[in-house]
Amino acid sequence: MPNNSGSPVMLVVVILVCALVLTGMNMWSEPIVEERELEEHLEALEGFFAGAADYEEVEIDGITFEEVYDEDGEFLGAVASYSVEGYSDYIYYRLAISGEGEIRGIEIDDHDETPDIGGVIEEPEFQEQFEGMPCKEPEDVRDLDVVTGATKSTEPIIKSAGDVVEAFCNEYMD
Amino acid sequence: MSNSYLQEAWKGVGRENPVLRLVLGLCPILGVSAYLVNGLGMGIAVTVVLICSNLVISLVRGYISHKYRLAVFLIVVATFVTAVDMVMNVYQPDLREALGVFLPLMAVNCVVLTRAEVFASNQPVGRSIMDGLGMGIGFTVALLLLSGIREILGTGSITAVNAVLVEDIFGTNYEPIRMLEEPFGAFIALGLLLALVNAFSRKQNLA
Repeated sequence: MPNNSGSPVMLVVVILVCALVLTGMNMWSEPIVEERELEEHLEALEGFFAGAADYEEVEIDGITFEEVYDEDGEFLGAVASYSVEGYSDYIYYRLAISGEGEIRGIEIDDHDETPDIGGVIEEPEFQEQFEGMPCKEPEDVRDLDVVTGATKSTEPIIKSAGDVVEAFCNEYMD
Repeated sequence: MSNSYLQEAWKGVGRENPVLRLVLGLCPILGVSAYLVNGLGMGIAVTVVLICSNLVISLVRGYISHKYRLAVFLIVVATFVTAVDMVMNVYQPDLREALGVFLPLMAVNCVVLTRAEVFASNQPVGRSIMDGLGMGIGFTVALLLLSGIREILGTGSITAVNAVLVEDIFGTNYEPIRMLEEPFGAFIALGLLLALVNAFSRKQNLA
């Protein structure tokens, strides 16, 4: 029979027990998940820098960079995470610059551009032009080829890549 | 005794299938049924949560005051959902990412909460466990049916098994019904499925 007297004692007991159970489970699962996420992140970084073993997040001129180190602690380079407004929505990309100041590559993480039009940003023909560009000449980066018919998708990436490269040089190259 | 326990479970699969007969929990069904493997994963998760929450709620049913029963149900269910979420994060992170927001949404899943309110809160523990099991299996069966239709007819293959087996059945000229992979295709497929089940139950006079 339902008890209408309204004593919250059982509710409190249930809350406490549930809180304890969840705390315990979190203590068990958190280290495992953190380790796995670290490994996955390092794997992603290895795509740009072979032998990546450690990374550290820093902020330079308002841009988020991840400094990448190998297992001896040597600075391999840095990867910037950036987002720009594309044609339909924001485009999230990562730009990797080596310790010598050259662009290693660009990777588009997320975008909402039209597949056959703005989607060209995922194609090698667009991405390859970044490779090897020196950070000392940000204007050369900003002058890279925009893709006709996909200006609103490609131009913001190119222009912002110039800013990223400039920030990197200012910070890491003398 | 065990005969009636089995009946308690069996009703959830067939006569009182929560999705196809009681028409509960349609939101996650639609959201997760694009791929068979996602459907299976979600079904297992819901079954685990159902059994556990039914068990606990049935255990404390004598002590919960009527005024706070909904709060107790929600907390118990949410705790088990969070626990399942953590376990999945450790052992099946890819599946967990595929299920996305629908995994935590189990906390307010109609099937789970309704069984807690209607059954577990006034039935003994044994029956409640069986009810949770049956409802969970019934939910999974419905989900597999819908996912099967959507993935096999919608893409022509089952990604999980890496098999383009439909080509063997229908021949390589099979043009996949792309609409089924979209949300509105899910609605239509589910509607047709429900209509089929309705017609079948009328014939069997199940009301």
